Amino acid sequence: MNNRLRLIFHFLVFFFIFCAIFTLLTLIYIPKRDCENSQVAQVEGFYEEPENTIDVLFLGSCNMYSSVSPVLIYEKYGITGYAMCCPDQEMSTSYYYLKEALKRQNIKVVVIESLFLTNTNGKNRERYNRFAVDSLPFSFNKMALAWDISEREAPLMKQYDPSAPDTLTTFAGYLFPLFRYHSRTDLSTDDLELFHDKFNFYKGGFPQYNYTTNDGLYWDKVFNGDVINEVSLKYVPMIKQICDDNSIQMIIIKSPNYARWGYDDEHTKIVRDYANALGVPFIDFHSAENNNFEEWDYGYETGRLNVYGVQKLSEKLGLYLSTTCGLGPTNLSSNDRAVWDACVEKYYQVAEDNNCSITPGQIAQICNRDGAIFIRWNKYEDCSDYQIYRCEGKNGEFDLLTDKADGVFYLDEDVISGQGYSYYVVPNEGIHSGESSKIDYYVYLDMPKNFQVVNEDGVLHLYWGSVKEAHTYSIRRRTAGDFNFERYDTTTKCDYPNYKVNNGVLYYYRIAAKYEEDGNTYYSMTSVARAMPQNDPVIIGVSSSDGGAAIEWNKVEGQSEIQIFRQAENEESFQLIDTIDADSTSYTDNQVQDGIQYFYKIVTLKNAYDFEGISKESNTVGIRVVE
Amino acid sequence: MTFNSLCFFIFFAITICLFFLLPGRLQNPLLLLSSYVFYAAFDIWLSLYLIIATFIIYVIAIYMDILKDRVVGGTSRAKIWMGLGVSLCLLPLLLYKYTNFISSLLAKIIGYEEKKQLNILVPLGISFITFSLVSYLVDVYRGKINVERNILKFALFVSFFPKVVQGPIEKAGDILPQFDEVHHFNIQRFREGMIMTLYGLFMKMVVADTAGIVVDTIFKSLSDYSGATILIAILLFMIQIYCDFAGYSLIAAGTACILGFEFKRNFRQPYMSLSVTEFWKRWHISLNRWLTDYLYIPLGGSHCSKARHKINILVTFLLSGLWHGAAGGYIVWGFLNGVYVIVEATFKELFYATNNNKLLKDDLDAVPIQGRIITQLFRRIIVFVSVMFSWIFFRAQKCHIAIMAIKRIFTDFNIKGCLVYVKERMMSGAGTTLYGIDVVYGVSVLLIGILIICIVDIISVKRDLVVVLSNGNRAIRWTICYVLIFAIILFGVYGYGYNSSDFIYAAF
Repeated sequence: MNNRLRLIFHFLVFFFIFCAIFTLLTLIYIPKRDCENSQVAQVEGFYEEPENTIDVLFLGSCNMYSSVSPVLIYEKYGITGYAMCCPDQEMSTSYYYLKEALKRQNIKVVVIESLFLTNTNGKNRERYNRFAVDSLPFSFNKMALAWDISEREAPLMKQYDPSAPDTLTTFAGYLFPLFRYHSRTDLSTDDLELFHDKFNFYKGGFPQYNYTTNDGLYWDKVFNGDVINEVSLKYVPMIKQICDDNSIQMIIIKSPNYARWGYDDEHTKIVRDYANALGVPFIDFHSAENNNFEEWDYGYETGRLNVYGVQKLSEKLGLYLSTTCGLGPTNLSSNDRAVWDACVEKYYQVAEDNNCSITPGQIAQICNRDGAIFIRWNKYEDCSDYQIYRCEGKNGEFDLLTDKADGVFYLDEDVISGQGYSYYVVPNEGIHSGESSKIDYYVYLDMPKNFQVVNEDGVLHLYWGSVKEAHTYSIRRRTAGDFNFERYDTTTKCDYPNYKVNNGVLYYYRIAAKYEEDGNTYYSMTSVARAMPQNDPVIIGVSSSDGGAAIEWNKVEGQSEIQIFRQAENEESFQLIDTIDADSTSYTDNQVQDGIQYFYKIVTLKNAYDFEGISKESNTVGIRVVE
Repeated sequence: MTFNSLCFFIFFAITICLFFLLPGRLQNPLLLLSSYVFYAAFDIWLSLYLIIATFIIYVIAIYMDILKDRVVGGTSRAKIWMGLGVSLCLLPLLLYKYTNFISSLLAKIIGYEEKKQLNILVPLGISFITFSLVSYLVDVYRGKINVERNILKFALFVSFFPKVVQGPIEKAGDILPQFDEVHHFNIQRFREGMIMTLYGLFMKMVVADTAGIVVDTIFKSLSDYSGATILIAILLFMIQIYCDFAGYSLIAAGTACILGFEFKRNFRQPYMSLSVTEFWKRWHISLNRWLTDYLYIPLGGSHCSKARHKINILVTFLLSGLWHGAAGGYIVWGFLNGVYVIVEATFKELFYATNNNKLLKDDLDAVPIQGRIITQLFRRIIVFVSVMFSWIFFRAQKCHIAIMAIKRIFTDFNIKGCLVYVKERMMSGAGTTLYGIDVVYGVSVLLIGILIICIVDIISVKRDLVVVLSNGNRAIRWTICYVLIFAIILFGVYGYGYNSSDFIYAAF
C-alpha cells in the first residue's frame, strides 16, 4: 500500500469510528419517547405497519389524533387507517408525511384536519417541529422537511431569541439531533436503552381518558388566524396534486372542540370556502348540525374530544369513508388481521384500565364531582330511560335510587364523605331492557374548599380547606402552554409553599384530596386556581438628580413592565406617572417642583394570556427636591 | 461566520479540498477569494472597507518605496507618505471606535447637551487590519521588508481569513514570504493543525463559554451577589477571557497550519508568569510585540531617562487599554498594568543596582525553571492577584461597577452565605441552575474543563504538546482527537438556550 492509499485508509477509518461514536451518542441523547403513551411519537409507529395494509391516512395536528381512532374505524367498518400526526403539525409536514406514507402504503383516502390550515405554531415552532422531524427515518423527505422548517423557523426564532441558530445550523440540528440534544441535563439510565418498540396499537390516535369540567378548560391561543396561512397555501395544493396523481380521495374535516364553541364560525367559513375552491369535500364535525357531542365527550384539557367523543366521531367518519368514499374492509392477510383485532382488544382494555369503559351498557365513569358522586354509563341501544341502584359499601343490599334517569348520567348528592358506594344501571327499554350493568364502586370525599394560590415575594403558597377523611393531598400543577397537569407533589398538610417556580411564569394548580381503601385510590379534586410568582420590588435608593428625583430599585426578573407611582405631599393619593420596561433599574422624575416632598413606590407587571400579573407594592420612599 | 460556527466548518472543509487540489499558481487566488467570502459573510457592505484600505495602502507603500530610492529628499518625502498612510489607516479606527466616546467626553468637558449616540456598525477586525497595515507601512519605510508589488499577495496578507478578524497580528515579513511557496498537503502539518484547532475549540466552546454564562449571570446583577460570589465570577472571567482568546488564536494558527502556513504563538501559559512584565510577554504576544515595535520603541523605549522610560510604559499600556474599548474600565485596566510593570521595572533597577550589575533574568524560556518553588509560587500568586484585580475593570467596563464589585468583595464577602446557596442548589440535583449553568452537568463540565486546561498548560511549559502528540502514537492521538471532538459536541455551548457565544476579542 503506498503512502497515499494508506493516508486515505486512515482517514476513512477515523471517519468510520467518528460516525459510529456519533451515532451511538445520538441514540443515547435523543429523548426516548414512548410511541404508545406520548403524543409526539406516534408517527414512528407508522413504519412498523406492514406494507400496503393502510387505506386511509389521517393528517393534521393534535386536533386530528385526539379526535379520531383508526382502531375504532377498523372495528366498525374494517377500514384500516393511520394518523400521521404530531402536535401543531403544519401542512408542510403533512405534505412530506404523505410522501413518506406513499413509499410504503397504497393510500386510498387522505383526511386532513383543518386547524392548521389557519394556525401557525408561532413561538413553540422549534419544539413541535422537532417532534415532526425526529419521527421520520433518515430520507430525502426528512431532509426536505428539515430544510423547509429551518428556512422558516430560524428567522422567526431570532425574533424571540437573538442567540437562536441560523438556518444552516438549525437544519443540521434537525438532521443530526445530537447537535440539539447535547445539552440535555436529564439523562438517566433509561437513555441507555437504545432501541425501543415503536409499534403503535392506537394507529396514531391518542385518546384522552379524562372528561371536561368547565373550570379546567383553557384556550391560550386567542383565535385570530382568519386566513389560510402561507404554508397551507403552498402545501395543500401540493397535497391535492399528489392525491390526484395517485387517485387518492382527499377530505378536509373540522374536529369538534369544546373550548372554542361560538368563537370560530369565521374559521369554519374560511376553511369551507378554501375546500370548495380546491374541489375537496369538507365535513364540519364541529358544527351544530353534525354535532351530537355532550359535555362529557370532551377532555378537560384544551377542549378536544375524549375517548367517548372519539368513539362517536370515528363512527361518523367511518360511515362517511364507507358510504361516500366507497371504501370496503381492507384486504388484510390473516396475520395482519389478527394484529389489528388485537389492537382493538387492547384499545378497549386500556380504556377499561383508565376507568373509561366504552363498551355499550357499562358504567363509563364514576368519580367525585361538585359535592356528589357522578356516574355516567354508555348508552344502551334504543334506551333513554334508566334505573339506578345503589348500596353502601361493596357488599350491602342495593336500593333503587331512581327509576327515571334521563340521558346517560346521574349525580348522586345524597352521600357522606369517606363512605363508599356501589352502583349499577338497568335500562327500562330497548333490547337490553332489564339487564344490569356491572357494579362499580366509589368512595365519596368532600372537595377541599377555599382553594387559593397566593404569590408571596416570588413563592407561590397554596391554601385549601381540610377534608377530614382525606389521607393525603396531591398537588397537580401545570404552566400555561403545557397540556396536562402533572402530579407535582403530595402533602398531608393544608398548605403548600411552592418554591421551585420561575418569576413571571403563570402556574395552574389543582388539589386532589386522596383517600385510599383496599389498595385503590379515590380522589376529590378542586377547581383550578392560578397565580404568577413575582418578587416584591424593593426601592433601594432615592436621590435628586439635575432638578429631578431619581429612584433606583433591585432588578426584577421575569417581568415585562414596571409602573411608577408618585404622591406629592399636597396630594391625597398615589398617581401612576409612568410605565417603563422591566429591564430598567432606575427612573428619573423630572416633573417635580422645588421644595415639595414626593413619595414614590413601584409595582411590576407581567401579563400572560388573560392573566394580569401584578406584584405587591414596593416600599415607599420620599424625597424633597431642592435646586 | 465565526470559527465556532457550522458555516465555518463547511467553508473551511471546501477551502482545504480546493486548496490542495488546485495547482500552486491558483492557491493564492483561491485563498484571497475564500478570505473575502469569509469576511463578506459578516457584512457584505463592510467588506468594502477591507478592499479600499488594502488598495490605498498598497499604492502608498509602492509610492513611498519609489520615493525612498530617490537621492534628493526622497527619505523625508517617504516619511511624509508613511505618516499619511499611517494616519489614513488609523482614521477609520478612530472614527468607528471612538466617535461616541469622544462626543460624550466633549459633552462632559464643554458642558453641552449630548445628542443621541450614533449607531455605528464597525467593520469586523478593523483593529487587526489597521495594525497589519501600519506594521507593513512602517516596516517598508524602515527597510525591514521589501514593498509587495503583487496586489493579490498584498491583499491576501491583509485579509487572510484565519487572522483577519481577531489576529494574531502577523508581521508582513513573517507571512508574505509564505505566500510565495506552493503548499502541498502535509500530513504532519495537518495533524498539528487539527490538534490546535480542536483544542482551541475546546477552550472556547466548552470552557470559555460555560464560564461566560456564570460570569454574565453574576455581572448582570452584581448588587444581588455577595463578595465571595463576585470573586468567583472574576476568577471565572480570568479563565473565560484566556480560553476565549487563546482558544481563538489556536484555531487561527491551526487552520493556517492545515493549509501549510505558520503563525507565531499568541499565548504561552500567561497565568504561570513570575512577573507582570513576563505576563505581557506571554499574553496576546502579537499585540504586545506590535505595541513594542510601533509605539513603545518610537516613544524612546528604555533607551532614555528612567522617568521617560516609565512614562513610555504607561503611555503604551494606556493606549492598549483605550484600544480595547472607549470605556473607563479599559483605561483603568491599561493604567493598572502599566503601573505594575513600572513598579517591577523600579524593583528591577534596585535589584540591578544591588547585585553587582547582574541583570535579573526574566528571559521567557529561562524563568519557569529558575528559583525555589515557594518563591516562585509566591511570585505567581502576586502576579495572579494583580492581574485579576485589573481584570475586574476590564470586565466591568465601567469604573463605578468595578468599584462596586471591589467594595462588595471587601465589605460583604459572606463566604458562608455563598456556600449555603451553592449547597442548596447542589441538593436540588440536576436540572437546577447555579449561576446560569446546570448545577451538576454544567458545574462538572466547567471544573473538569478548567482542570484539563491547567494540566495542559503545566505540561506545555516544558514540552510542545502539539508536536509531541502529532509525532506520537496514533492510538493516543486519535483518542485525544475523539475526546476533544465529542467534548465539543456534547459539552460545547451552542444551539438553543444559550447566549451568544461570539469571541470576546471580535469586539475589539
